[in-house]
Amino acid sequence: MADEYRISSADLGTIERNLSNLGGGIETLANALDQVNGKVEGVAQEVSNTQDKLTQLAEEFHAFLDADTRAKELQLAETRLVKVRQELDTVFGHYAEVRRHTVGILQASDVSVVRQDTIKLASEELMLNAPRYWLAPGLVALSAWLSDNRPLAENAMKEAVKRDDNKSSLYFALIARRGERRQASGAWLQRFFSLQDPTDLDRELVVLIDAVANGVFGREGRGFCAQQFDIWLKEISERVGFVEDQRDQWTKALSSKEPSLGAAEYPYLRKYATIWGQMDASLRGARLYKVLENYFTSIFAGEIKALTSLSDAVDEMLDKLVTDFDDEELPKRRDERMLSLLVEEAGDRPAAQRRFGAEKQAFEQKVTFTQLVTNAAMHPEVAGATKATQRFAIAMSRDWIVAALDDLTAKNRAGAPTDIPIKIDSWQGTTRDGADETDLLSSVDSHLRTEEAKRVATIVLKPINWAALVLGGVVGLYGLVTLNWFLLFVGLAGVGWYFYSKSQLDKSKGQVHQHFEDLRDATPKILKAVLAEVVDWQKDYAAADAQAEDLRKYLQSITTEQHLLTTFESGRAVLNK
Amino acid sequence: MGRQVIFGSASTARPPELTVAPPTSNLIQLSKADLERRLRTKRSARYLQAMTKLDAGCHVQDPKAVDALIAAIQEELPEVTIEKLPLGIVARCHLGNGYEVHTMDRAGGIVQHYKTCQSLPALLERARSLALHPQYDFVEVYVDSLLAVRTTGEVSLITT
Repeated sequence: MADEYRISSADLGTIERNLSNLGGGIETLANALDQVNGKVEGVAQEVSNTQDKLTQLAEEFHAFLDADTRAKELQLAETRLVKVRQELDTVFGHYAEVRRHTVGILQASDVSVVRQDTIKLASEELMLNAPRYWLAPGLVALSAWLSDNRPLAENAMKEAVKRDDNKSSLYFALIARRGERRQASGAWLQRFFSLQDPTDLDRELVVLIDAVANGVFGREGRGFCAQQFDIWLKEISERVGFVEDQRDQWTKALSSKEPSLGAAEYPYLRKYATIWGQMDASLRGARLYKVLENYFTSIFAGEIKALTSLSDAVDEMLDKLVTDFDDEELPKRRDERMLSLLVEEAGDRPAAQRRFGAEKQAFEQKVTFTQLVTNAAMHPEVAGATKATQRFAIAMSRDWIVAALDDLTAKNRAGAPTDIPIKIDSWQGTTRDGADETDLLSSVDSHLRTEEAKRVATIVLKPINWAALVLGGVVGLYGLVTLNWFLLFVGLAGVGWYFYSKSQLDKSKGQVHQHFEDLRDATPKILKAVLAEVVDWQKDYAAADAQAEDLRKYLQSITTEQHLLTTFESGRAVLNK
Repeated sequence: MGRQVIFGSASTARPPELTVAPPTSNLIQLSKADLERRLRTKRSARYLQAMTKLDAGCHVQDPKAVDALIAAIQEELPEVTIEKLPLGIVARCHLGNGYEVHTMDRAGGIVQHYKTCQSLPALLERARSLALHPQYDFVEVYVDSLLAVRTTGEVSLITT
């Protein structure tokens, strides 16, 4: 019997069920992938948020560290300041008593209320208590002079001169002037000048300039001193490099008054102008002129209240001479000043150091005549100069100040940017005056569209996706024909993966479009704000820069002759000529 | 590229026979400080007037006018050896039509006018801001410095 083959009608129900299950499985897989993708996006968002928070935290941490450092610096500076002042008091405290006695003896003698024996005794006791101090024998000489004891006066005077010739000569010149002994005062002044080297002067010379500027030495004394200052100036100016030194010195002195910009000024330019450093420096440089004008006009404004009598004026000079200019104390005084600045700047060490750097030269033991004049003009509180001396010093240095100002101004103008490059994200442009808003906005728009197109063009299916589609189709079809469930499943999975990738691609493109849409919304707003600040900056700079010419005219109008007091004698004060 | 206004459009260099440099052998080399002091001296009215002619346009056809300008520089700074003289002059341009600054290149004997958007040669570009400032008539450009000259002839030096 021949074998009989019979094909029964196919029951495809199972296949359909399985295919349906497979379809359900793929759908579940796609949903699961969607969920995973959603979670990945969520994680990415969280990472981004965390990064922002971290950045914020880092900023807060740095701010905290900064504040903490400042607080510690401030606390330390306050403690050290007390210590330095105590040391000054302990080490040099006995000098204070001697100092107080100087003017005390003179004033007591004026009104004849203290017996000469008491004065003599007190001064001799101080002589014993303050060995090596120049003022102690000076005081003995003073009391001996008042009690008409010439041999003792001469001996004490010799000792004082031996201990510190400069200060003693100036001291006796002032005392003789107080007693209206013009000849003696002139002789001491001559001696004082003969000891000086205009390139290596002691700081106390400022007391003499003060005395001259305040009219203490009278017309002859003033003439004599002016002549001497002229000789010094000629001598110094013949030195090689003097002019350059003077210009540098004044440039530094003027620059020391440069203001800083407020932290809230020009927030957009700070962030988006690539040459903000240059713009900041130019504006600070230009704002300096107004600061300087205010500084100089405040010095020259109003009358200087003159002391009513010659003795009061001399007493003030004597007080200053004996108090502020002892070189032994200088290192401590320097420390004290630095610590005071640190306290004033609330612990901000760089700011305190910047201020101290500008004043540092005023703490040098030896200075040139011109440096001394510069210090008196620009750092009067450190140099120990009065307003009258400041006026005199500025008037005397006028031409150098103008020359330094001219160089400073030209340097600042040369550094002022003509074109301002801007960078917002990936867009870059340049503006000159902020008036080209339309062109720049159009440039932003076209840049963003180009960038968007470039970015979208990179979002394409990978070759593996295409391979999955083709191979999946072929394998799936083969599986279907041969009823190989496994191949059918693999084939459908490949095709399914292709469509899933494609849908993700569209999603990514959508995100890119959204991102650029946001940029198209935000960037023009930022650009407009930047351009508005460019306009403001230029107005600000131009207005500040124009002050340079006003300052120049003001400085040129200052004359030496106008700025000498004639307090204690009638007649016109003419210093140099 | 700026508008070239000398010896016709094709020529960029001055013919060698037009050299007006004095023989340098009888000049003493000034020290740096002396040179600076000399350069800082106030410029004469004659020199200022010569420089303002840069803008008059007469140099377009007249190479002798450029030579006269170079001679004016040498006459103004007679003690300065040729290599220490300004490399060029940059000044504000009043030609209008978008022209912003003009330059004179001493070595090449070229006068050129530049529009707002045009860059100057690197050595001269650093003088642009100063030249545009109304307080200065023109800027002398040296290898390592700029000298801004005011209408009064007073000069300010900027080391670059």
